[in-house]
Amino acid sequence: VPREAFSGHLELLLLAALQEPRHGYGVIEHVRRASGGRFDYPDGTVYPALHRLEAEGLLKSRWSEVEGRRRRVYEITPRGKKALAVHRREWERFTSSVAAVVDHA
Amino acid sequence: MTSRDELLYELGRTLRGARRARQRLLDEIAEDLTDAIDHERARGTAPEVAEALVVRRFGKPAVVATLWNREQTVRRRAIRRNMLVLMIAVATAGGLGITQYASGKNSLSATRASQVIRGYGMSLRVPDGWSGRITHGLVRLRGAGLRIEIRESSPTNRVDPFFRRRSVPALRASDFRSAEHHLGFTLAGRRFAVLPFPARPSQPAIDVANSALRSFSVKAGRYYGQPLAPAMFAKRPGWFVGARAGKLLAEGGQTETWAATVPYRDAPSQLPPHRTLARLPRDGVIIWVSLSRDSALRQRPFNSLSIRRRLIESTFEGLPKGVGLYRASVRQASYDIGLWVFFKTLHPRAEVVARAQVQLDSLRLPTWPSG
Repeated sequence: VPREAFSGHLELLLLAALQEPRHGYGVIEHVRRASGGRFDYPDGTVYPALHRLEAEGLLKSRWSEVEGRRRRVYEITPRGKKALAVHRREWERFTSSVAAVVDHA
Repeated sequence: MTSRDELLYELGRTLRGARRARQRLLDEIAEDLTDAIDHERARGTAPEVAEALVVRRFGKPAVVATLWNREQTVRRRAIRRNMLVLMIAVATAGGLGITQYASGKNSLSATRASQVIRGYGMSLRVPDGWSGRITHGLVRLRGAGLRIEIRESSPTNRVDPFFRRRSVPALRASDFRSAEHHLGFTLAGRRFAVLPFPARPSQPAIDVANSALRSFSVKAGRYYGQPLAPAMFAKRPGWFVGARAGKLLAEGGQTETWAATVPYRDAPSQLPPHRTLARLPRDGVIIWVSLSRDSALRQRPFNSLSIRRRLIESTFEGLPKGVGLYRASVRQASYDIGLWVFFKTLHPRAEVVARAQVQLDSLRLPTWPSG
């Protein structure tokens, strides 16, 4: 999937992936696995987005140490859950509208 | 330098914004890249291929930096806008003669405190729903979108007005505006500074933070000063080697180690080592290594302990004209290694670099106390 197709939906993907706590690489791997590797975006672009969502209060993060290695673990906040619900509704409306037009054609 | 190190170096060079925020991003990416490479290797990919694959998947550092820098600009503008609104509001309130805070009482009570953390003769009650940790010379407190640190400073005989206050300061919203802002105080003869990290806190959150700070208590005593062993170079013909040990103080500690092809003539912490450089022949080399630990911050890693000729430069301020310098910062579990390799020319011959590398490879690293 070309990156233009989901450029407006990265926030939705990240919030959805962080319904359970994950570190940046964990988020990247989750999205890659769940999408069957179809999203073509550089892994590095996830980090500025994660920091932005945290600054907006939709995510929170902390350092965690696992087997002597530090990881910055993110999790969704109550505000983030509300934002995710809104994004999800918008996404469903959008896909159903596109499907309706395509099917009608 | 590995391709991972090159990526981090390039990214670190191009990121803009607050130093702490940049450092956190770099630390996070460095750890995640290592994780990703290990993951690839666990899948059976050859080490060099695994690293190349992960670096390629990460994308161009410039793209990530552009996205990051754009976010920082937006955030900075938003902060300025909010400050302007606040100033207008304060001016308006003043004009109307509003004196709601005249009683000096907090309108909202603090959240129930639930856990006491202790260490190094310090203790603090962490509010419910907040997290806190005491490590060597440092208290970290986080919650309600706020991040606060209490850093200890080593006592000196010099009177310092910064530490004049004899109680933990109460924080106000204005204390959270600058990354550089910190407030000093002294308890039980020990010196501290509170660092409120930039945020836009609500009054209830500030009240909770202040309740935690009021609970901060300190015992007099010696909790620091453990000896730190320096790294050591092998004694080889043609090399003059030396080292200076250190002490682990509240703020951290440092040791210095050097190896030069001429007798070393500078103080251990003198950089660049001008006097030794002045006596260095054309094919001479000076290797200077610091092991350091900062109780609150880690150095940003860049380059590696493998000297790369193309990364030898002459841009360091104060470096004598024509002198080449290779620098690296590498993390170990309990300290950061700072490497400085000075060459008399900006373009040393391959044999000279190889000779320096052989000496550098003889470096023996010590174990430091954890904490």
